[in-house]
Amino acid sequence: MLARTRCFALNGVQGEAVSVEAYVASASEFRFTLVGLPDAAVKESRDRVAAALKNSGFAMPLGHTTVNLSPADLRKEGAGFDLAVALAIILASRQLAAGVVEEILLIGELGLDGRLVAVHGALAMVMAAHAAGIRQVILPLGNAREVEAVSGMAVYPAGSLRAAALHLSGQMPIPAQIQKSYEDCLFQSQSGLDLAQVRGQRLGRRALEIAAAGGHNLLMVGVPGSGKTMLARCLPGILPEMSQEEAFETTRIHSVAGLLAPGSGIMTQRPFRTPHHSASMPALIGGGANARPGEVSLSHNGCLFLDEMPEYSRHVLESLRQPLEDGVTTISRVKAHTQYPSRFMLVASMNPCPCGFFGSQVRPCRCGSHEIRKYLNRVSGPLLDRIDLQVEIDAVPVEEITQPGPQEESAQVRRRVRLARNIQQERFRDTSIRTNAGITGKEPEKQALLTPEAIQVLQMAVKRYALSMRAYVRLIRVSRTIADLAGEEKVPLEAMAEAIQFRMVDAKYWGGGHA
Amino acid sequence: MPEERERLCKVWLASSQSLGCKARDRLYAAYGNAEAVFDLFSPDFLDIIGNKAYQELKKTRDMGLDKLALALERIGAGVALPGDKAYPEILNNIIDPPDLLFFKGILRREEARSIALVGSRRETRYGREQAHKIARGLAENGITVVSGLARGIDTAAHLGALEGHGRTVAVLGSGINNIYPPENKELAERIIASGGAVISEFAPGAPPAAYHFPFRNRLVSGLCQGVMLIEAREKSGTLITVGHALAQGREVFALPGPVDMPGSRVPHQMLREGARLATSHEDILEDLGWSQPVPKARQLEFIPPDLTNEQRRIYDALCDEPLGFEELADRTSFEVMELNAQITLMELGGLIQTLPGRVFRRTH
Repeated sequence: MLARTRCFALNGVQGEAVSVEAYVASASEFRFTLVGLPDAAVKESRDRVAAALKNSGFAMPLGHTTVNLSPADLRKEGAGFDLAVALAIILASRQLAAGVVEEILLIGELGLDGRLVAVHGALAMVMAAHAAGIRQVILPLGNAREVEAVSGMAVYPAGSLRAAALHLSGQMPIPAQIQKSYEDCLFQSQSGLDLAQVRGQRLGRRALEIAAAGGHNLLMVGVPGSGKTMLARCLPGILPEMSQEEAFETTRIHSVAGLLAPGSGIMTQRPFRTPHHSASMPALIGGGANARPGEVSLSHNGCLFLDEMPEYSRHVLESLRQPLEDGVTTISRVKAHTQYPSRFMLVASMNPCPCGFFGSQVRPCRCGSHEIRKYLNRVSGPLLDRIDLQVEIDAVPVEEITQPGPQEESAQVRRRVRLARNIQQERFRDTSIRTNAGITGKEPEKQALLTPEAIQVLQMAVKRYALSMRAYVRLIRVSRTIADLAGEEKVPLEAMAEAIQFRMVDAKYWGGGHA
Repeated sequence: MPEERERLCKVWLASSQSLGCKARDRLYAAYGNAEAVFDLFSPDFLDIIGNKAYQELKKTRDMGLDKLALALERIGAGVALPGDKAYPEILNNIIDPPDLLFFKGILRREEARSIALVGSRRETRYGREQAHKIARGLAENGITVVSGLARGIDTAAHLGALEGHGRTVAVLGSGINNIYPPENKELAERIIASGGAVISEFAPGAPPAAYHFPFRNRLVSGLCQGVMLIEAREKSGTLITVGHALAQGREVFALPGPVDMPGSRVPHQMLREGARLATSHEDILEDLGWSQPVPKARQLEFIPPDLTNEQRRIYDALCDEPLGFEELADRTSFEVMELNAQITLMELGGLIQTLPGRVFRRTH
């Protein structure tokens, strides 16, 4: 007899429908074949399924069993097909009576004892199935919370193959999981570092707030131990909460990458990724034989923090330019061609010189100007061009550490950031721009609505500091955000004057600086 | 013009990168003058000067002296021989004066007062600032500042002298047509344009070979009445310059530095061994007897014409010392955004300036 079940294969974060067909032909000898472009982990499912059937009170049918994963030209990876294969065999060998099960999504890896094990990418599969019109899913308990915010889906978490089989036959139905609204999930956890814990650093806080409000990339320069990393870690807490759509996008990527702990729900915190500076290009951008998502995609809708930026290898840094520009990373491999979303805020930190103390009031710098220039040159100009804001972080004075004054909490800053973002959304409603960071080089003055006084100060600064055209546009973007934070419709003189303090200073500032 | 021909023959000899000064002196000893060497040039010379130098000289000789004169003109370099109006007389009292100098800019027989500023190529900010300041002070008092156009202290010294609108001379360790380090090409142009000079005793296209520099250093000290040492690490070329200065009877000055910095060790050792301590150009002028008592200009408190009340607060806070951003914010109790804006406006107005590390100070 022939039986058919339904599951989904993953290509990047996209799910593709796969139909599992099982056919048992009577024959005197026992044979079990699995066809349809399975990879090693899928092929192994033969042995797992056979053992799991046995240990769940079923049996491998006598004769020739053929399981086909269709469409046959689609590559299938991982162990997530086990449940669908096992149930197809049970149904094909008439060990269980059930109605049409093709409209139920089956996800799960089997243990030899028949228990269901959580898989990677469950959310992506469920979302794809939902889009394809499927409204029921049986999945492992460990994947249940991950999909609790998907509405319009009946989710049946099963602990074992037997539980899933009995549910299908109606002998022992599993109660459907109660789905939550995204708003309910939001309430659950808000952890991370709070700005209230950061001492001093008024300038750093301000830069962080502007960066968050305008979606600007940020570079922090400062002596070792001045608190650059701590400030950066506060960024997710002052960015506006993720929208439901964003949360789904981000969780889906983490789910596919297998970074979601079993039993964890949808991600409501913006991701904050800190790859080590020895990171390779596939680790950062994504890749490997199976085109896995890289750090740029894992920080989608969140923040990618590069601590000690000049320590990263140069070609790895260069490869960031494309995702920064497009918000999407395309990974092409012989076996796969995958797109991952990667819209993130880049926050980088660096010392001002190899020893770290150039310009410090506390300790003298031991570096020669040539060494400093070499150090700074490790970060290329085109990458710096994509960073709108630069701030120098002072070491915190001792009094501030021992007797800290009251500090503003992240929640307050986030409120201002949210207001500024709303203004931007309203302004760019009919364009493809999302935030001020997206203001382009085409008539930026008009896009940003500068007052004549602001333009005048800007022109003075361009002359005085010999700024490039790119720097000019960056100043306009930042000043627009400062004006949005102040609720000004047009960019006033003061906003532009402040923006100029956050300009990117070039290597000459360090190298040839004569006091 | 027999004398002109002798000059060109000397240039011909100097144009060989491989002909060392000893081989050249042997030639002079054997033939009397350069003209004779040129005329009698034959494969017999191989034994005296070696194959490489022989081939180079043969090639240029085959070109002809006229072509050589033309090539020299194209480079734009002048040639100074001992006794010339452009040949610094002070070099005649060192042991091994150069036979010939290539130069660009202005070179004079009488270089009234000059001081060499030498130091580390891996300088610190402290050394750079002091070198700049002292060079400027010297330049403003009409003293020529001599240095080697290297990275670090040398560069700071030349820049300081230029800023003081004074005369500065760079002695190269490479050919006059091959400025090293490359990033100082522009600086060399500025030195020439400002009425200073760039000089080299090596063939115009010669590379900056390591063995050139100790040799070159005898000219740096030789051109001056005194040598000022600012930051040097042990085993540095700067020490060689100091050695030459002592052998040539020049005064040696040294700038003290922080005792725990590697660049301070050599200057401090020099001071222990009898170098003169100098912390400013005035010390040097005084020790060499070059200073007339200059009446101190009465210090007038500079009052900027139109400061807003906010700017006045910032300006007053910066009266004694430069301040970092946080300190400035504390003393003026401005909000961050307002302080940022005011700083920009004051900086654009030329009232204050930003130092590395975001430290602010008054311009005056």
